[in-house]
Amino acid sequence: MDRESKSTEIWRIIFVLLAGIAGGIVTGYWEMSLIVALAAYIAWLLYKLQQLHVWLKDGAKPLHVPDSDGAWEHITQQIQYTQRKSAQRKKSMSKLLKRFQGIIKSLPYATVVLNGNNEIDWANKASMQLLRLDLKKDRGQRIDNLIRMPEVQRLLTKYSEKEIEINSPYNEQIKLSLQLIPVHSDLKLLIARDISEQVRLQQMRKNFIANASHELRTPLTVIAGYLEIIQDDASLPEHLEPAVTSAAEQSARMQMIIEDLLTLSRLENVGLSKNQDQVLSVASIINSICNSEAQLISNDTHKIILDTDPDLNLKGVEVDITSVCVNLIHNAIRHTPVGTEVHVTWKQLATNEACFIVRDTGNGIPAEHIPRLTERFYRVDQGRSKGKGGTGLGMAIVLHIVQLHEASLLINSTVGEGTTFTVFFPAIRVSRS
Amino acid sequence: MELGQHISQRYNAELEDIRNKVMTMGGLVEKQTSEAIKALLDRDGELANEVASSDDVINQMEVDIDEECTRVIALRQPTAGDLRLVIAVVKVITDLERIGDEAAKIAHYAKKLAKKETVTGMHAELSHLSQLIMSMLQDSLDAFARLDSEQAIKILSQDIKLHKEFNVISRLSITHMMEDQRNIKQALQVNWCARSLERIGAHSQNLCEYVIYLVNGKDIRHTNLEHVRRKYFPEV
Repeated sequence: MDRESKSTEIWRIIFVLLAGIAGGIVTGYWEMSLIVALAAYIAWLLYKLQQLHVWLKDGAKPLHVPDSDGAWEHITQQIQYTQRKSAQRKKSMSKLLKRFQGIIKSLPYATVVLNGNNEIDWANKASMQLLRLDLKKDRGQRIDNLIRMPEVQRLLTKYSEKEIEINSPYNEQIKLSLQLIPVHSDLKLLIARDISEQVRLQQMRKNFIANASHELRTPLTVIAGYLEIIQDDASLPEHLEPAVTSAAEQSARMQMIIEDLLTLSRLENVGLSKNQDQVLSVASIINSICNSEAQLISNDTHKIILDTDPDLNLKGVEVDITSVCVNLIHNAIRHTPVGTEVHVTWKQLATNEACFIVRDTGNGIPAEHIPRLTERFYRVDQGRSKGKGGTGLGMAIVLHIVQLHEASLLINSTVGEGTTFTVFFPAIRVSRS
Repeated sequence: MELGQHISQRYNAELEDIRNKVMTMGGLVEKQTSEAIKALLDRDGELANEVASSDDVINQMEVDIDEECTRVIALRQPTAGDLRLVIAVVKVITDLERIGDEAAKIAHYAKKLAKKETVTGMHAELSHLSQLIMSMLQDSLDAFARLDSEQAIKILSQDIKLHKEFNVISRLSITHMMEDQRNIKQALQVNWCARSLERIGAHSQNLCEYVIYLVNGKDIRHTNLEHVRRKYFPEV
């Protein structure tokens, strides 16, 4: 209460008391007169309170403010001020909320807000088209009751943020990518995107590589064949010999690259079909590689030390597993200096997983190259590696095969000490004979 | 219709759980059916093999849900809407299981049809029929999830369209058989597939009848559809 309204109130009380005293002087009944004056004052106060109450109850409209002065005026002003403030705050809050909702609503991705039980709390416009949700009907409905695909149910129970790809339940032609983002225990976001176009483009790229390599193979075979004939011809002038030899070498290299590209596109397009799986003795595969081929490549410059478990078998596709072994062993020999030891290990771990390890004591690979080793045509040392043969596709093929066999590839390297490539195969693919 | 208004939270959870399991089973059945159709239309023998041999998950789910329903009836003595829900679920899963069987049958014929070069060019007709069937199955499961009886009655009135499509295929295969006796085997197989598809459609329509039973409390099986629609759904 400020000073002005305080003094008004004090003057009012003094006036009441004076009126009482005056009444006392006139009538001679001092007590009665004072009591009447005070009672009148109380009644007036009650009347003011009543007015204030009515005004507040009717919504405290600024037009109907009760007439008053002193403390009463002060109170009504204060109320009006708070009201204006809260109205402003409400307005700005709702404006903010509207903006925010507008933003989510107009996202091109279908966004569904889910609660802890996977029930739909809110969904934007795009989700009506893409997932055919109708917010009016479906609020509170569990999302997996409407999108009933087993994959989606797995996604909802697993709490992973990994994206999954599904065919739209309503249109086979449309591919959707779904992602679940847990915000907190009672709030999740499900985001769906239409990726049909991307999938189509990727398929086009794959098809292009497959077709191009296929079409290049036949002419290249002819060229390589003729080069071989020319090389063997005794009447070849001596000054042309190096040129022809080099041409033959390069065409052989090109054939290798095309073979690798074809392998890659086969792995990409077809994947693994279940009935191609066989139980393989990896130890004998490794032995045959090291006995026959490694001698040819390394010319006994490298020392290969084998440690294989002959009873440990793997379920997989023979060509592909062989290709993993060949690529890793060849790499270890090709990219390390003469005299390096190469340890090849095939064993079972305590977790029942099987692992294939190729460890060399070469120069090692700097850390920044390791994540990119499996990229196509990626070379650690541009200048040097080309002379050593190889297509630049070996590690990409290895990675593809590893993924198709549900296995994982781990690369560890310390510069100056050597590199270790480890492939872990899951326990379900492992058996013992 | 409202679910989940019981004093006992466990009871609520049990009913909700049953319903969710039915939807999960529905999802599996949908996947089986769409893959069987895909195998048939794309002549994909491997996929057909997979579908034909993975029917047992659905069968197991039917047994599980059935048992759970019996348990709820025995322990909770459901009444009114809850009773209708449990009864409807028991019926729905029987039909879902049959749909699964039909899908396996289609896959079985698809396997045989995939082996030979097709003479009976009925691809377009089959794909037409299967599109209709898939949308019927999806829509009826949606109607069950949303407890939407208006949607259900709409699906029920697709009856005539379904029979028309089936008859087109029948007539075509008879024509093929008359043209050349060597076609008889394949034409018969295609006809069996169409028959299975038609059965799936009929089972989907049964699902819709249960939805109406569940929501409106009216058993409309073996009654005149037009009559039902005029009486209960004048606005559809």
